[in-house]
Amino acid sequence: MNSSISISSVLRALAGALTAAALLAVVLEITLRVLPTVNGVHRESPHTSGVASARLIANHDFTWSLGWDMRHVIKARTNAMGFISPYDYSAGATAVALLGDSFVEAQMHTYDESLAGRLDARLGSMRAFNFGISGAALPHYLGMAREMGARYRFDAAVVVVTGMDYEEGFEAKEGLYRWAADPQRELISLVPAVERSSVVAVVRELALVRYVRANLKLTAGKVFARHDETPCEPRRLSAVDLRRLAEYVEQLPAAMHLQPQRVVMVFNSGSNADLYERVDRGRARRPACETRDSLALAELRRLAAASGMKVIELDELLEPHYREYRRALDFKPVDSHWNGTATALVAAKIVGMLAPLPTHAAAPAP
Amino acid sequence: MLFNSAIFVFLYLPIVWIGYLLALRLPWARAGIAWLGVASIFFYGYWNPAFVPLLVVSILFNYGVGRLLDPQVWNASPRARKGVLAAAVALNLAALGYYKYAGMLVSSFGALTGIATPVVDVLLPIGISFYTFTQIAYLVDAWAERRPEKSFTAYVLFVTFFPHLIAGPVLHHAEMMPQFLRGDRALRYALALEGLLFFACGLAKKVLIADSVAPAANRAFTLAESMPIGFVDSWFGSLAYTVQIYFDFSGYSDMAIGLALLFGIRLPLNFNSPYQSRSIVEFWRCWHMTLSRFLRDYLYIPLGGSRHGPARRQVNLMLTMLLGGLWHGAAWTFVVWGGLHGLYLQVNHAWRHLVEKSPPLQRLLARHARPAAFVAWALTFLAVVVAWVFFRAESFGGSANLLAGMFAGTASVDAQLADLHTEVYIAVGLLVAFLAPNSQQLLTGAGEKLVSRFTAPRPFLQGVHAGSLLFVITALVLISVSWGTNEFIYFNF
Repeated sequence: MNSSISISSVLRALAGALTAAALLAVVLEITLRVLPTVNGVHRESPHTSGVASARLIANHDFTWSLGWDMRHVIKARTNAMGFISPYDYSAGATAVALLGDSFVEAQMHTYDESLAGRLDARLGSMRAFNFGISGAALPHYLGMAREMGARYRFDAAVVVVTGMDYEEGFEAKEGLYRWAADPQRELISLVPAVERSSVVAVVRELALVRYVRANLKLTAGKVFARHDETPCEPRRLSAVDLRRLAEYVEQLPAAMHLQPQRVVMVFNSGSNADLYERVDRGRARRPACETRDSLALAELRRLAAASGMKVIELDELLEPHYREYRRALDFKPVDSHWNGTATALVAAKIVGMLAPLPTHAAAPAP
Repeated sequence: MLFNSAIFVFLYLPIVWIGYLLALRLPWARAGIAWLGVASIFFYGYWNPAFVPLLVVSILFNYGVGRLLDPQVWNASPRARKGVLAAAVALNLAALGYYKYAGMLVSSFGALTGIATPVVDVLLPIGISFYTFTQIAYLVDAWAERRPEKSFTAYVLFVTFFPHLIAGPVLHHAEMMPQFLRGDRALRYALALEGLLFFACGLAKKVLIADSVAPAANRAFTLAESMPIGFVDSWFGSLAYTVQIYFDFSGYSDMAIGLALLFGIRLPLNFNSPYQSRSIVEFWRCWHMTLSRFLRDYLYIPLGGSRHGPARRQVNLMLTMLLGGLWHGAAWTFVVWGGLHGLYLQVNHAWRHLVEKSPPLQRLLARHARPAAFVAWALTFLAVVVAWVFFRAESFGGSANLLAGMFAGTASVDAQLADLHTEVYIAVGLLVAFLAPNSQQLLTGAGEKLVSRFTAPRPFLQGVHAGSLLFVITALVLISVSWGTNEFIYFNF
């Protein structure tokens, strides 16, 4: 570009650039619509469904794929409640409630390889009702326990707790329960969903947008994030944190009308990357750093065990398996969720802890 | 700031480019290069501001010594000038030695003597090997040619110019200074467009191939640190790394060349299809060409090169390769990698000598030219792959475990590393590296066509080309960010 270039030339060049970009965007949109881009996993609007807490669109086919090259394609369907399950939940069924976030929701698995599917296969006639929803945290698990405990009769419950579940519980995510400010008055509160305009709804359906948000897992914050090591800032749990956790442990089984002994808490608080490093190199990937979240989850684990709940520390389960076989337990590096090997190990451990299964577990399937 | 990061592509680069266009309009003739110098130091400081003073001191020191070596400034005897040069080179190497090799030397001393030594953990300033070597070459040339650079602004930019500062190419001041100081202050659009093409091509190499196979290579080499891994896993890992390092570093070099072209500067080429080489000698003419040139001009030839007979040449060659290996990193595995290549080169020279002395062998090779060429290529590639194992492994134990898996099939675990997607990327990467023209061959031709097309004032069409390239670059950056924006391998050196 010569420094004496005219304004009109610049404007024409700009018009050319925008035209090219628009045409390429259209070509890419068409191409992505043909390819198995993530599709159909939008949340149900509470304004049309009448359900305030977050669900996927009910009775809806969806496609899930991993990363920029769309590997590991899954095609599945939600049930009538908007959870990922091949069957509708029946009030008369004997069931295990499965609470958690995306690890439980399991968009990335065929049903047979998901935790719910693995449990279904091992529980005989008893059913695993999957209430997992992506982005959820501890308060939402309690919220779902209340909602579903009022609706179904559970024989047991499994709650999968992942790292940052305490801290993320303070975030306001629409349709999800969060920690209420004063745990003495109310432990959790539901963040109402916002009704989206038709323009936003159309934009969210664009294959390009779905590809960037779901396949590439990008947000504006992530695109411009710096990848510096954050210094460890040790934290302590406040009296309010401790009260909140104690209330939580008391309310969770009660919300589902269960004895604490019939609740299995699965703590997935470490990362598999740390586990691999520890086993392969014999050293920690990074120095231990006690954050409010890690302290809270440790306290929750202690309180849960003390109340009689069964506790599974996932690292203790996965590490011996990895040490022996050295096979990946997740979809790293693209996705850190459990793969089918890990769900099988977790399911086997849960069923072992729930045994002996109640006699009515052999009742006919709903 | 990484070339494949959003902050670099979407913020830093546009600001610096537009600022450069504006600076070219200022009455001060060197406003453009001053702006680029300041922007380059910011680029360096963005990674870790604590090391900016080291870079600045290094520049001031070497510029000062360069001026001192100018006979017009200091009319000293040749012996005194040589002494100054030797002291300056030694100081540069001492700084490099402290930051890069202190830990290795102390721990090696402890291991050899059994004396308990403290753990020396010095944070390596990024790019120190590159800017130190660049400036040592400058000092040697200033001493030999007696024409040191007078313009401080141009010297600062020569050392810090952000496209090459972190991981090369290793520049020669004689090829850069005239470009920085030329009177032509108009930025040529066609050149900038060629730069965008190079940048997009390099980014694609990095993001689509190198980053796609990197996890497999990392897994294999990490596992091998603790136990022998299987035949398939070890070949899968070593081939993944062979593909990764080529597409990572040649991708980086293409991006650096492209970025420089955006500012009207041509950097030297760094790769010329090295995996198509039919001998190790040829490989080293095509791999990291600017480092090979540096090692030849400033180490091998000063050591005597081939001037003192075949035996001395072999010694010089081995020394050059050992030091070249050590330059890459503070670990004995790099020295072994360099030594292995030194050995390969000696075998290569011995073979050439044998063929030259043996007419029957020459006739045999001529009669079976195609199979002989294939065998030569395959052996060269195999030798390179084996050497990469030492280059990538973190310890000799890790190298031994991987090589045992590759050639003896010993394994205590079948980790099943191979997956279809990575296998496809490795296959595509190897096919491209073996058969396709390289980016210089592709883009120089395309660039020339573009230059001819853009001589006519057709702004709309110019915009269409630029818009298309920017769209592709944006898509690649987003994919890169989704991976977590992986560093370039040579950033560690």
